[in-house]
Amino acid sequence: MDESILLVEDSPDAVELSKLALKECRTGDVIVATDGQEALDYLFRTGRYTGKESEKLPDLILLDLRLPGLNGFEVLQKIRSDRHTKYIPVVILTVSNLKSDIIKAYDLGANSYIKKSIDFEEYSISLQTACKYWLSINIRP
Amino acid sequence: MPRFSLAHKVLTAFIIILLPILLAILAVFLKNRSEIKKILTAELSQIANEREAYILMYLEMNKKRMVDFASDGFIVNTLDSLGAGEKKTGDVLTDYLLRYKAPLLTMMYRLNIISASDGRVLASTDPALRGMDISQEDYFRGGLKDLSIVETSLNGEPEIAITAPIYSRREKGKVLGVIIGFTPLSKFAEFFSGEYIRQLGALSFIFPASQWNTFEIYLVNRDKLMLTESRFIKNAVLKQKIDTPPVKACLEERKEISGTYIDYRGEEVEGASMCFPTLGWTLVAEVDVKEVFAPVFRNQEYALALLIVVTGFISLLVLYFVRHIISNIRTLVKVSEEIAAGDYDIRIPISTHDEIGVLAESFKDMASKIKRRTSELEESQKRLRSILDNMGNIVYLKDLEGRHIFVNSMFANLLEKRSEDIYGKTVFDIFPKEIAEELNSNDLKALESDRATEFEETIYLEDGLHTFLSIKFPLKDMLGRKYAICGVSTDITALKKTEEALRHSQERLQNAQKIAHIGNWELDIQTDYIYMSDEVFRIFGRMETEFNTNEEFISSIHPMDREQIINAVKETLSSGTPLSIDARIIRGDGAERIVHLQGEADRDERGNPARLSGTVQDITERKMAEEEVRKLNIELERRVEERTIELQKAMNALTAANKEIETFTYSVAHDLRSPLRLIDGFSQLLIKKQKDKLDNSGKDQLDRIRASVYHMGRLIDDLLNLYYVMRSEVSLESIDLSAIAFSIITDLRKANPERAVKISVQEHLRAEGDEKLLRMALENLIGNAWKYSSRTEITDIAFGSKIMDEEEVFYVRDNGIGFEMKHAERIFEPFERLHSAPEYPGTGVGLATVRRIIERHGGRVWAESEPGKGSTFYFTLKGGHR
Repeated sequence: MDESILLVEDSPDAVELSKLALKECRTGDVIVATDGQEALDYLFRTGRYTGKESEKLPDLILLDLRLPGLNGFEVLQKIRSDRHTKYIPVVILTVSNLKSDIIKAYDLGANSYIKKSIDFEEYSISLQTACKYWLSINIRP
Repeated sequence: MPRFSLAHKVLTAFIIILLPILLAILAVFLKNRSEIKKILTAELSQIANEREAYILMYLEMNKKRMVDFASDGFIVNTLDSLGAGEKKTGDVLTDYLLRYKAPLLTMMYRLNIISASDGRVLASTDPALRGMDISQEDYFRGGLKDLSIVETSLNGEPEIAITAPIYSRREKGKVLGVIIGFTPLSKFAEFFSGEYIRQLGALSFIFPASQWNTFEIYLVNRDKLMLTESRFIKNAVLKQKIDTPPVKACLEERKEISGTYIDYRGEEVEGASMCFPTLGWTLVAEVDVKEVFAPVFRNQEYALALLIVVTGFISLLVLYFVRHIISNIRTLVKVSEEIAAGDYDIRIPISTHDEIGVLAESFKDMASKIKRRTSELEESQKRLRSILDNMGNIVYLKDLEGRHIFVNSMFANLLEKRSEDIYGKTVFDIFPKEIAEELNSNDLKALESDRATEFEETIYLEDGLHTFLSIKFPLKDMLGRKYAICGVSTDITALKKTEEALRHSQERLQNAQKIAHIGNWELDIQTDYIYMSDEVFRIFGRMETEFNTNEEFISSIHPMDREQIINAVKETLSSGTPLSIDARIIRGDGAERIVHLQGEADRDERGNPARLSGTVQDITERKMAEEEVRKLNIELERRVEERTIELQKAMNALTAANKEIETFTYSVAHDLRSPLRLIDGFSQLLIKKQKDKLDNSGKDQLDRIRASVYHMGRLIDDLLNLYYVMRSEVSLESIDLSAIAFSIITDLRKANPERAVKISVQEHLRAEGDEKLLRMALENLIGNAWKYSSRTEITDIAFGSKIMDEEEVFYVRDNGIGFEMKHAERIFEPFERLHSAPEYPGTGVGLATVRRIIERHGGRVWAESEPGKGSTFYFTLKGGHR
């Protein structure tokens, strides 16, 4: 498995727990961006990622909505408006289950919306399921 | 067939023509016959007469001769001298007779001298007879005495013997002998044939026998025996008995007759007779009627033949007449009957060019004309009928007995009957007695008055009382006799009502004008005269007598406004724009008022303004009120503006606050959850990864941490829900509460399949509400029921509705632990809990949320309970509010 995942998450604890959960998925690299700007820099090879054009773009983006600086929606919008990144599956990972958030995310082109359960076990299962689905089952262009 | 058909008449005429012809023929025949008979009788008498004369002359001549011979000197002397008994005497005398006397005899062929003494033939021209004793013969005896003529027969041949006595000269009165001359009867035929006459020296003799084949003349003696030969029967002389009328007449009556009778042969003959009384002879001249009348019969035959021919011709004519003319006439009769029966398209099979043909053509012509007329008539009738049926009036015809003979469909419709059902009925059959009597008496009046008369008639119909204006008039035939009454009725009920309404309306208008202070007026441009309603005078405070011209009107306008009014009126008259203007007026009492004038110009046919009509309203109070309102409005607007600004400020503040609260709430929800996730996550990692280092108490404490985290999460969710319920829009739709309740219970049973439960959900409970919110409310109520009855042996949960105080009330009932009614209000407050968390976990926000939801739907929620016996939660819905 050499599919890479871009995990956009600001809390290091949360990143750790997410990575733990993703272990089961047996994926390739899990690249972590701790805020929106970093995620975009990575994707568009800007900022500190300048010159790394040859690196492969991630096969799945796990995006938290509540981020410092650029929030998740803004990041999603940018991803969807660039021709290199527009087809990368984006799964929203958030604690918010507000209807307005869900609708806005899908409006901007999210492929999936997963609520971060407080129960870690539940969270792990939903993350693994999403990972398997988007990387193994779903066929991308 | 007519009783006296043309054929009969023709036959009668035929007979009438034939009859005189027949009679004429008969008359001619009879006349001919009688004429011929007359001539014939005369002729036959003449012939008979002539022949009688011959015979009588002959007999007379021979009598004289015999007397002469008897007185002959030689004979007498001889006899005297020689004696009669001497042979020598006979010789001398015979010689003498032959020598001197015989040549003198014409028809007499024998002359005998018989001796008177012995009666023997002394001398004779026939010497063979000398000596013959004839003393016994009648003619001898007679001859002795006198001259006589006797019939005799010597040797069978009939003869006439004429005798004369020979007297002696010597001895006076002594008869010496008798001289007898014999003439054979056959010689008499010569008289008849004319031979005798010719012998006497006649050159010719006309004998009728040449004219008639059956002509016959014969003599009959006194013994009724034929003396001369019959033309028809041989050897008839002295043999043929003739016992015919002429013979009888002659012998019995000595009468000579002529006429028609049956002769000895049995033939009908025409004859004439002559009598010889001395001899007892009858001379008969006869001819067969058959022959004599043959020409007459022949003529008759010609006449009959002619008659037959004529009859035949006439018959043919009659036949032709009957065959062609009469049969054509019969055809025409049949055709005319069919035309009469209404078949106008009849074909007439007659194509002759005579009068019948012309008649047939006329028939065809007539039929087509009748057809055309009939169709025109039908058309006209239909048209008339259609007009009558479609005119808005009721039309009816009644005979003099009042029976309807015609009604139009309007009439029938009015009575809701068919026209046919009305025919023959009188008003008494149709209407109630009183109405019928009125109608009938009107009919009679109209009939009597003899002209169109108007009546107002009232009739009750299904929809009430109807008033009709009826014009009734008698109908007359060509002789001027009345035979029917016609009525035309117009339903004037509506008109009456309209009249009434108009009157009311005028009254109301007057009242309205009085109340509204509106008057109406009309200016006649030509005369400047203004018509004004009473209210105008009241408004202007002037008398009718002093206020009715345009000038007077203008002068009552406030001087400041006069020009404006005059211009406005001019404008209206010239351009046609309606007049609408306010003006001040000076009333008759000097008071100033404000009026509103409104008007429009009416134009004449040429388009020139003729009248200006309109209204005037006293708007003084309104104007004043308007002014007041205007002032108030300005004040109000100012105040509204102030308040609006204030309100806007408040709104902005509120919006900002709301936004802040929202952000805060969101942040709380989000930021409270995130650490909880981490606590739970790491707790689990600790349990998994450090389980060897943790004793049971440590594990238990970690589990308690996780339970607290879970509870905290629930609390956040419930608070968020409550918040959501408080601020979200309620969208109303018809929802199936039963289905929602059922799905909730199904989910609960899946979560705890081991529990024994009895569930009853009333079906088809529907309500107007927000599905998501009501589902949340029911989740809480049913969830509570499920939770608080978990300790009962068999859980019994029911969802249903009932009517309480005419209001539909839904309820959720359980048989759980229940609570004391003193807490019934408290439980709907947030975070209020009656039971401990370990026993019955919960956040205390559920029922608060339920109350919020129900209240947002305009309903109420309450609970009834008893500890240990279960609780019932009721709620109502009123469609909610927005």
